[in-house]
Amino acid sequence: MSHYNIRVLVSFGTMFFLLLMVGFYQSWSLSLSILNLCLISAIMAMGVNIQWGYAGLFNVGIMGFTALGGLSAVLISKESIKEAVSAGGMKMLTALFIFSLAIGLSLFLYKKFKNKYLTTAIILVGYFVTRYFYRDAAQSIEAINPAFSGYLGGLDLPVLLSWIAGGMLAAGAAWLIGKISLGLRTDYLAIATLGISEIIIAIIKNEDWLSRGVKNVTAIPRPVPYELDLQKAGWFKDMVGKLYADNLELLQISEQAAALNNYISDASIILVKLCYSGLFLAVLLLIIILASLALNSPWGRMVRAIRDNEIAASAMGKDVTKRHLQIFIIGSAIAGVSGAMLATYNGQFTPGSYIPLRYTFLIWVMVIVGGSGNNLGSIIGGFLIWFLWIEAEPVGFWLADFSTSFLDKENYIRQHLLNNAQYIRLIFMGAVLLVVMRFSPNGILPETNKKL
Amino acid sequence: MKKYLKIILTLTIVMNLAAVSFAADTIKIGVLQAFTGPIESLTPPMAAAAEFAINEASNSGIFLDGKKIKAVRGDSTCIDAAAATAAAERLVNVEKVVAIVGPSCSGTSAAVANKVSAPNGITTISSSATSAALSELDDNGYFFRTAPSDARQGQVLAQITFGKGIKNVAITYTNNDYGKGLTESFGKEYKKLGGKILMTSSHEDGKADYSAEVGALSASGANDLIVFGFIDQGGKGIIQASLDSGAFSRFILADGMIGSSLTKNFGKDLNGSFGTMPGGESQATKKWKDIAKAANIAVDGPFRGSSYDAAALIILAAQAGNSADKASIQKHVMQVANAPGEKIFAGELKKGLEILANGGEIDYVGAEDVEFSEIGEVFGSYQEMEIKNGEFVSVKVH
Repeated sequence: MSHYNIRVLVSFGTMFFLLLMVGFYQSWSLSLSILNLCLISAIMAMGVNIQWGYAGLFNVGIMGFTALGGLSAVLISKESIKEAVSAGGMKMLTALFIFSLAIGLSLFLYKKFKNKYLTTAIILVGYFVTRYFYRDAAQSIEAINPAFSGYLGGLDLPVLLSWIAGGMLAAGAAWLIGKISLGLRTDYLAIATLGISEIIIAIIKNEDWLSRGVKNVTAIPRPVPYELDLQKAGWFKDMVGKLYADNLELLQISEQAAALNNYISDASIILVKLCYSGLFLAVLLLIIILASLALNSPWGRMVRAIRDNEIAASAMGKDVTKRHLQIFIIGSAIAGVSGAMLATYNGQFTPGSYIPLRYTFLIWVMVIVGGSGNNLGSIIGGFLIWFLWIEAEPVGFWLADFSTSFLDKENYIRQHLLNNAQYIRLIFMGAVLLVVMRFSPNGILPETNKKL
Repeated sequence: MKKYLKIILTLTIVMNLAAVSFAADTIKIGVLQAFTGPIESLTPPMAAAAEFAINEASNSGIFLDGKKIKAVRGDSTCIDAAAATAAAERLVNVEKVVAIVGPSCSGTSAAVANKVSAPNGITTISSSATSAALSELDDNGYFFRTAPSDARQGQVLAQITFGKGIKNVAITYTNNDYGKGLTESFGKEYKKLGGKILMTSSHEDGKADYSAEVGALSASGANDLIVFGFIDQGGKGIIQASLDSGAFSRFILADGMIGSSLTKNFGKDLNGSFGTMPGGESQATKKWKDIAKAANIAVDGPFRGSSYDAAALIILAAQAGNSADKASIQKHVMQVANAPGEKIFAGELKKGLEILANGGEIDYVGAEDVEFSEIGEVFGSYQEMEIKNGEFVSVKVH
């Protein structure tokens, strides 16, 4: 076995072992919920890895694409609000129609006459006419029961569709953004994507008719059963009863019913999480298979050649801009898929919670720690960082408690450390990044086929 | 290979050490607040107030025949629903808490109620989630809150404002569910009364300068500015910019803006400004303030009393059912919170526990006049606060 293969085995083995440890020593339910978020994080990290690791595109706007994914979960799966649709649906469609008409017309006329003034005039007129209809439509939709709905609602379709739709929505946005900003050099692209992702969040936060804005959408339908339904279902009760028959027999008759109820509620929670894990794992496997096939194809070699030396690649007749656009769209689409998965798993879409620290830079840490350019690396990075993000809190508390246990209970330093134990999460992230960069500068699993 | 084995071995040992066993005569209550994140400066006193109630009952010696209670903290982060649910899950499944005080923010509250409280059957009492939408939560009866919904505060504030003869206002709100919810409920009531809102605009928290926002608001022609923001975030910036440019001198504030740090910063410049914050009948509030001051808990900010109440309700509900079983707690919360029974104020938990142990009934009033509606929300009463001589003074209770 080569050195690299041992590394892969050991790092995944350790991760698996850590999750098992959480299961044994803490609880299986917690272990599974960490695993589920690890899977989602791994997919997000794959999206960044495809852009940065394959093609060297420095995108710090991941947050925007994950938010678009989350938005699609709302738009696909929520039931539509009939009063709002009848009050403002047609007006909004009219506004949208005029908007696309203006864009289409201006593009067409610009191509035909190359006249700047005419195009500008059409865009301006289009803007004001659109705005006239749009304002009215938005106001009449938002006026309908603002505390509990105040938006158009969704299409009432199965939420799993939104994972695909989220990818497509993010891809569409990426195409638009890429067209505008991919001509920029790395550092300028970083600034542009950072700004654009903030614009996307600002739109989602403020267009209440579309997304309910900062008032949040909760109770997004699930693709898996609800725990409470399972707890009431006869077949599930029988199954759990049979499974734990031996344990129950050891108890007295009077205690059996309560114990069985506990088993049923625990089992329902674990079953629901396992369903999610299965779905997420399927998506992750699909994406990793496609990504590896792409990376090892002639196309993959071409994008890596572009990454390593743009000038040489374009001298060989490769269309650098086009490849960049392709990669940018694919990576962003994957971020969109993971965003939709996250909103589905959380069961809610809260635009106010999209902050760069959590949805852009944490993902970047995953990619860097895992090893950029290596798909398995970004997966292990996603797993490890999310695991630490959650487990840092109990560990931090334990550390604060343990390191000051010789002090008096009321001692100021001890009290202060215990009261601020939660902050260790951020310190932990920095420390992990530093340690990995010191001892393995290319990440835990470095890129294998660097030399072409 | 040997190197890796060593790492794994060390990890196992650490994990073994981390798994601690607990005595059976101690029950645990989770304190799930947003210790990190955008409201991190609000939460430590809230947690301290909840823990104060827990210690009070624990030291009384009569809780469930002398059982001790321990508070276990968890971080709900305010913004990261995934991290909040993981923390809640840890409290429930690992620490085996019987009930939870928290989470702090409305978004994370909905996530925790749906994904942890309802499936596990854990009573969850938030002391600061005020979004109106939480009233419609599908929580199977396990989610309560001791902080009143924003819908009510907006109404009260509108009545006070109009009652003072202010007919035109401009509103700026922090762009989240709190600010927006308040703006909507205020606007509805204020317009109904006959007032006019000349401009409504949102502001984002965490900016260095708010003079552009203030400029636009002042151009609307309003004399008084309503600030639905946060005291150590954009709200403070708005007031700073307004005073600097002389655009507004009187401000109308909601609970997120009421606190001593505001008067400490601006002092007498704010004389005449007024606002509302949750707070019960003056007798209850006064008692709470006295005991909180004695315990070194700052009382001049929002949600401290409600945190005390949330923890106290859990404890009293356990005593009422004479069991620390999670289902029994949920069944008895309403019973101890509402009439009939002997009124119990903050600092009187021992008395309440005694009455319940003897089979009597209590009506918990607590720090903020708790009275639950059918769906487990307080109706909420509000104190009208006015700044006189550079200090917040409570004028009246609505």
